[in-house]
Amino acid sequence: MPKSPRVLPRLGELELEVLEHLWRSRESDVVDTHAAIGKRRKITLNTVGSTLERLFRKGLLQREKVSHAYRYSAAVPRDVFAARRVLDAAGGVKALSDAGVLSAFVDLVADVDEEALDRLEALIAQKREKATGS
Amino acid sequence: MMWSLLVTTLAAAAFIAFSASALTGLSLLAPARVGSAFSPAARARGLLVLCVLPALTCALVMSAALAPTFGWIADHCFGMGELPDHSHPHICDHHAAELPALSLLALAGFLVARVVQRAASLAISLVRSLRAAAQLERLAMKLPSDDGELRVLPLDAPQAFVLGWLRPTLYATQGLMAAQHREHLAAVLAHERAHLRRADGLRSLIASAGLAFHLPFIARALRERLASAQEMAADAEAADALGDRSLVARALVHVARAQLRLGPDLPDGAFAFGADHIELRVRSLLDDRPLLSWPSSRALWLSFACAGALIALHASAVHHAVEQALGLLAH
Repeated sequence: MPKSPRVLPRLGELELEVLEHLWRSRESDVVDTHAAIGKRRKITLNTVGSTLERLFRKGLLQREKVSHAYRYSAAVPRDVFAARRVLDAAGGVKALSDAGVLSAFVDLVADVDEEALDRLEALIAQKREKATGS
Repeated sequence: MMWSLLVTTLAAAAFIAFSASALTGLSLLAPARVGSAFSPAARARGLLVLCVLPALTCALVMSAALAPTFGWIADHCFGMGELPDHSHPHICDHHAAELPALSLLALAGFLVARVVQRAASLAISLVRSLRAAAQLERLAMKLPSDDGELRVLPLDAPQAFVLGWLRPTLYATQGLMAAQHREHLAAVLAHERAHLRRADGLRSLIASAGLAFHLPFIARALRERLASAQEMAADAEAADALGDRSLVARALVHVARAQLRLGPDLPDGAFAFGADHIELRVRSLLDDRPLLSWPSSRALWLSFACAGALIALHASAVHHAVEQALGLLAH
């Protein structure tokens, strides 16, 4: 399963409706999605196709080629998407944290590396050994 | 007429606040080993005081300086019989007709802009956090825990956080509840519960309001140090609750590593601190030297009351000193 996007992209009304459809139906191709949404909205098959493509590029859908057509499914579960949208709408965890209204257990930065964590782990183990030894 | 008095008063307030801020800033130049001699809780307490010190100093000094305007003490100008005295600006209504100098106008404007900007930013954060808390409440699964309910959010990254200033709520993610993190769950939750017990949200709110009276770069440095000290204080309290400091240190490294591997799925990453903060927190937990835990909150309040009494006793001198200082700025 591909990693969901780090920051949720902004979505239009049609994109949200397509995503909703995919959460309901679990997976769908362009024709089925058009039948479910496109006909009612009086939009073409191409518009639905390009919306699915856009959502795929934004990392919100995954797809698999079956015969000559792609079958799409949501890459982010509905509840995860909802929780992330809530925090996004609040300005993001960083903004809330900067404002002092949120304190997270670990606030990482992108430049934290495994090596630094290895060093810390070794330090903790050393301290524990010393404590049990004494 | 009253505008002139208002501007002069605001300029005086700005001068006092920013001077106190600059003096506070000097304390930030102290070597790190001085700070590390104090317990994280004492450090957080001290930093909170530094955050609000210019605002408190401003309130005390300005109350004394405005005493003649409110009729609490006699105006020294009358006493000297030398009206009108143009040697310096005045903060009493007998001189309200005098136009304030441009430098005082700029100083007053800067303070007003800082306060308005800070108030707006606090109001926006408050509204956003209340809205987020209401929506997360609907999305969270409530699990019974040792002290009430634990709200679990459908997010993959192993994380826990406390959201809110006045009614803070503890959230954990489903990712944190997974089997591979179970060993560290108690430490993570103990840390977050320590934030709740210490009312760190409320302290942050008070600090944020006080920082409006600081010079911007000093405000930024203080905010970062306070946040860092609060995290270390919560780590230390969690360690005391669990009876093992290395448990919390291990949980920190474990969760940091898991987040690093998985990639954050909290929006924009929750990345207030650098890797060095994790290192500082771990090192602080492993530090078994005896640490100083003073000044206590009571001692700090007592010092504030003494300073207030001293300033009130010398209100006339304070009034005159503030006017003289404004005179230096205006000319």
